[in-house]
Amino acid sequence: MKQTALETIALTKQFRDFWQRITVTAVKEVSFQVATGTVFGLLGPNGSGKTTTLRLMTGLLHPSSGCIRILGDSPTSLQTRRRIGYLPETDGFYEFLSGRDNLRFYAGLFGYSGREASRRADTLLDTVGLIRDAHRPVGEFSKGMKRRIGLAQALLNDPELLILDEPTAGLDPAGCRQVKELLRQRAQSGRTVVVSSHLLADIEDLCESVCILHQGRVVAQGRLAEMLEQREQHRFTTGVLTTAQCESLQESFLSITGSAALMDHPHRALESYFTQVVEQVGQPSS
Amino acid sequence: MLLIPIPEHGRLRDMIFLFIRLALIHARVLLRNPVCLLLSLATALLTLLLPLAFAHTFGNTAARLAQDGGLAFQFVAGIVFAAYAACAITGSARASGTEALTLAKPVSPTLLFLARYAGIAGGLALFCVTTATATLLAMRIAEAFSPATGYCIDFTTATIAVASAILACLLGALLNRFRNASFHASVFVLLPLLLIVTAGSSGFYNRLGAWQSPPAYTLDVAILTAALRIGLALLMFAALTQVLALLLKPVSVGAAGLLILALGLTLPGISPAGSSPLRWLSMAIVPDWQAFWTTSASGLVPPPMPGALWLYAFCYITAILILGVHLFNRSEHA
Ligand SMILES: Nc1ncnc2c1ncn2[C@@H]1O[C@H](COP(=O)(O)OP(=O)(O)O)[C@@H](O)[C@H]1O
Ligand SMILES: [Mg+2]
Repeated sequence: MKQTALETIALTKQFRDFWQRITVTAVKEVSFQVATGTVFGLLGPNGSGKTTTLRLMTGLLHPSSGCIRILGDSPTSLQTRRRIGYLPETDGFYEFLSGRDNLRFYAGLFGYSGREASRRADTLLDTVGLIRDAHRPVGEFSKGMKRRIGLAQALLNDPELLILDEPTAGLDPAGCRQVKELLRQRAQSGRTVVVSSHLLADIEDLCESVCILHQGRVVAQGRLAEMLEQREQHRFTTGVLTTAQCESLQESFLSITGSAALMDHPHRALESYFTQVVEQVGQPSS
Repeated sequence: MLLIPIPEHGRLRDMIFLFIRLALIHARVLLRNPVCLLLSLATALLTLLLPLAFAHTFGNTAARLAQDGGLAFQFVAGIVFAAYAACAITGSARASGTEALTLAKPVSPTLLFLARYAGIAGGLALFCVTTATATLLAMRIAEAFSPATGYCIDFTTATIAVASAILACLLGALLNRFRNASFHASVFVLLPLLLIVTAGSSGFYNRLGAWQSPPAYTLDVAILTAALRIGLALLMFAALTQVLALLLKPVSVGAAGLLILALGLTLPGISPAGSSPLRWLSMAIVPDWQAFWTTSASGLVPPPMPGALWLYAFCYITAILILGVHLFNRSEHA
């Protein structure tokens, strides 16, 4: 049994107007657990409460009721915040500072010395592929570049728990793949990742378990593999067959099961095709 | 990857470094703001050029009018500066998301709020140095009598002072072109420096511009203590507006600030005189701005108890900041 890195119990968040009237209940009685060393996905359409849930986790919003335990502690404790990394939905950078200076500033907030902050900033700029643009003001960055530097910022303290709000929004396919690879590696090394997204393809090949939100409520949750498995069907995969072989197989299926089997060529994911084509041209997109 | 343990936190030294880091970034954001430079530059130029515009001195000396004018400009523009700075800094930190991201790091809201105030206070201090030096120079520029020169306006100092403001802009442009430094921030910092150099060099020539050595200064530095007291009042106003900016939109902050300003100016007149408890109570809620204004018909008068004034400002700012910290800790940051 894996340890729990994060747990929410009946978490509810209501937003109120000036007169303290409830305007919207963004999160309703949300309960889930995230095991240490896994990637957990928070799915849902726009306005379903993903960002609100993540902000509650980081202690930036206060729950109306219910509770959250992060790494065994409250989300507002400074000790917890030393151990988590957070990528907000909107980037929180000083636009006039360069990418490197922004990272060094935020590294400084963890108490790192100037040299250590620079070292971490440069390592991470390299990791997210921004080392060439590190000297440019963040205000000039494209959306995808901001997401990349945001991710670098979230990794500054090598956090045990990484909370990412739509990390792949605005990223090119190569960037998406790199991010997913990075997150997978972190989970393998025993760290926990929570991502929110409405891009299902991103979640599908990354998350071990997911929670689907709709209008602030949990509508489904569990291990992704179990949720997607269609137990009422079987699938065989083989190498290429001749037409004669196909026909004889179909006959066998018909005689054994009484019905014909569906036979076609599998489709590969567009992402892997795109990556292959781009790499063949020898021009990695930036 | 990055497996270096995080240094033990909570130590006082780390806290102080963190505070300085946060205060500096807020001061930088503020100094880059064009409105702050505009206020500083306009106030300095108005103060410097005021003595050239006197047509009638109403029985006062021209220097006296230049002094009152300069201090009044400092107070009024300083009020606008403080309120604008508080709204701009609070608003931009929220809108850009830097506030949320900073608080997602191990930074306590208390530290962030106080560092923000320190950043604003730093900008305000620089503004006051600019305007106070301009007032000092304006008093020298104003028409006056000296045995060597007779009655005359000191056009030499006026020219050098205005030229130093233009030079500050030129240097700012050069720093921007060759060092990528912010034009606004550079000029904001260079302006007081060059005005101080102008004041320093003013001893080397007389009112008609003739060289004199050894230098003989005719600057009335007593004015600096008056400017300092106005600066103190502005620091109180900055604390007040920074707390208001947590609760209200910028326009409302301006309106509320004006209301408190007006109340503070009128309450001492209508509340019982002397040191009755009622007077103290009203001073504890709305600042008594009059207490910081130390010029009168007889010229510059020291306040009856200078120490008490500092203590009053210190207590007021502390109390307001404690209230602000409490509000900031309770509020949400997303
Ligand atoms: N600060 C806020 N004030 C009022 N309503 C908010 C605020 N933040 C979010 N909401 C509302 O909460 C709901 C959930 O928003 P959000 O969590 O941002 O959704 P998602 O990230 O899933 O798209 C939306 O209806 C949104 O309008
Ligand atoms: Mg969202």
